[in-house]
Amino acid sequence: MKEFGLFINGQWEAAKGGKTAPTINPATEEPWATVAVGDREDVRRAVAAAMKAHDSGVWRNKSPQERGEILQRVASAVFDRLDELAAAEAQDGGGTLRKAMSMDVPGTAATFMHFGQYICGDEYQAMLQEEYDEVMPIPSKNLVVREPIGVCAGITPWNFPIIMAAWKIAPALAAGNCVVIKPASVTPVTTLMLADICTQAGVPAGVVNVVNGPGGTVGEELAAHPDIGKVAFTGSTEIGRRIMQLGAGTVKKVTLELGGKSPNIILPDANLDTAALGALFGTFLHQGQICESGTRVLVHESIHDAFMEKMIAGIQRIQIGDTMDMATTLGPLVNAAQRDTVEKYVALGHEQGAKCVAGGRRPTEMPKGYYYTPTIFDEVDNRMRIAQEEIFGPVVSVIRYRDEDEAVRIANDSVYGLGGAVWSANKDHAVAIARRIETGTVWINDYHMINLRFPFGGYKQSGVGRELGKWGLAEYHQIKHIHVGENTPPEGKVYLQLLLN
Amino acid sequence: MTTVRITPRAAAVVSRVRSERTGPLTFTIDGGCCEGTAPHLFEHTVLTSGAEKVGEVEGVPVYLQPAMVPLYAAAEVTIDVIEEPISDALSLETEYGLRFVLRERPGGSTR
Repeated sequence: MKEFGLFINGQWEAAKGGKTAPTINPATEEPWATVAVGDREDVRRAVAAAMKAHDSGVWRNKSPQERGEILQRVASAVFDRLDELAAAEAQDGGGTLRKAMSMDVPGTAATFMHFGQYICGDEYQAMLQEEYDEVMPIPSKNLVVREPIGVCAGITPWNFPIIMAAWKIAPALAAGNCVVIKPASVTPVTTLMLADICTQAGVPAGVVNVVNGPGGTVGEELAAHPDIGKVAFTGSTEIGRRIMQLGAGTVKKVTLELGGKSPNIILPDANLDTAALGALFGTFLHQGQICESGTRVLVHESIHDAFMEKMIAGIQRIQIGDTMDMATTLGPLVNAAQRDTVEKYVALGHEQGAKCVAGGRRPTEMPKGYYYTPTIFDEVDNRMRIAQEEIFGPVVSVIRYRDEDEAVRIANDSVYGLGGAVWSANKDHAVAIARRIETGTVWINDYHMINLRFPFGGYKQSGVGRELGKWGLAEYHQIKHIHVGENTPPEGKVYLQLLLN
Repeated sequence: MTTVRITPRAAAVVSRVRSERTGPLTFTIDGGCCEGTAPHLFEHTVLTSGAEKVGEVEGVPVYLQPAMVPLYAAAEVTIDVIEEPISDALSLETEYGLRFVLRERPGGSTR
């Protein structure tokens, strides 16, 4: 069995308390690796190492070009270890090897490549220092400069372990910060491997640290530690709220990417074949364990029956099976508790009167592993609990609407506001509807097409701030205004008259 | 009206947390993302405006976050505890390798 320590100050370290825990392969229900479990003391060690690295200037004083080249080397190193990282990712979290090989690991490399290249370019130079000449209220030259924050904490979820780690590490490092990451406890392995890869690719010791451990100790210590300047968290809304509270003690900058119950609106003029398959992709990719999954499919009544027929038929093309088989497209849920949750909500769907038209059970062909069949509930009312609470499993609610105003009203009737889509032949019309939807991302005629160049984040209780693109990079900077006045005799400073006769 | 209960084993965990912490404890129930709707035990928490107290277990008040209030109006929920070697929730029991979970009887069925 493989063993992993914590990654602190450029080295593998045992947890101070000596604790370890197995990490379970959700497809076999068997442990496949052992990982050190840290506590508060390990967080303090990691933050101290990061603070020391930051204060030394070994990273922040490098030019953006130097940092950018190192980040691009990390990207290449991630690609060099594609097979190994993908196998680890699939075994740790139960995602398919197919997804890990084509999405998780390449997406991680692409994240480092994107930010590495971006900070070498002119647009970033222009962002780092802006200059403005002013005559009022006094002649001055004004510099607006961006600086790193210092030590940033990243707390990541179990659904996309390595990509989520990359989304936290790459922009933080691009901006000149040091990081301490707490990976999700059920899927810590690839984040630890990534920290090691960063170091081998030339990121100095102490700049990237990873401490695995429970939220109640490691998470709380990170969110409250006085030397942490920013916390970036992806996870549940309730924990996001708690992280804001803990950060309030030392007034930390916080970005949160939280829950969702995203609407996927099918207009009558949509290509129904594509929209039906897109609705399946939007809800069942990675067993539905994606925060911006389109779990509420809103279908116009005039096309409802035809759409449902195509959607149900499309399920036949989803292949449940061994995650390590490249033909498998649907793996198990992450653990038994998650499958319990799915089963609870399926029971609730039945009890509240929704009509289960596909799935709704464990697959008989997979006796081992936390598998669940892709499940479609039709005739769902948006106030039903399956339409309001995030299930985080392969369960989709189909809701009928009569006109677009009703579709928009239903779409926005949620405490969340993360993602969503509109499917239509008329792109301009779809964009007009997209502008009325209260979410951070809306796709037209596509789903799950998160792009590293563009911002991702939530309205309402889906989050604060944005990740990715120049908007996400901006979240890892402090902004400083430097006013450069004229060196004149006192008469030149007219404002002195406010106080001095 | 929402009914909240706690299993004996979960109650024992609350007692343990209370014996090791000095601040006021609160259960809150809310959802989202990877954990779904779940109970969280916090020390010194700040309640959301509109959160509704739906009961008390082992002397600890239990609050529903506002959006959950109408959804759980008729629910009978029981706070239970499972073994989870390490959990990401910032809930206090995670320190012991445990995690509180919400069991319920919607309209009479049991989970």
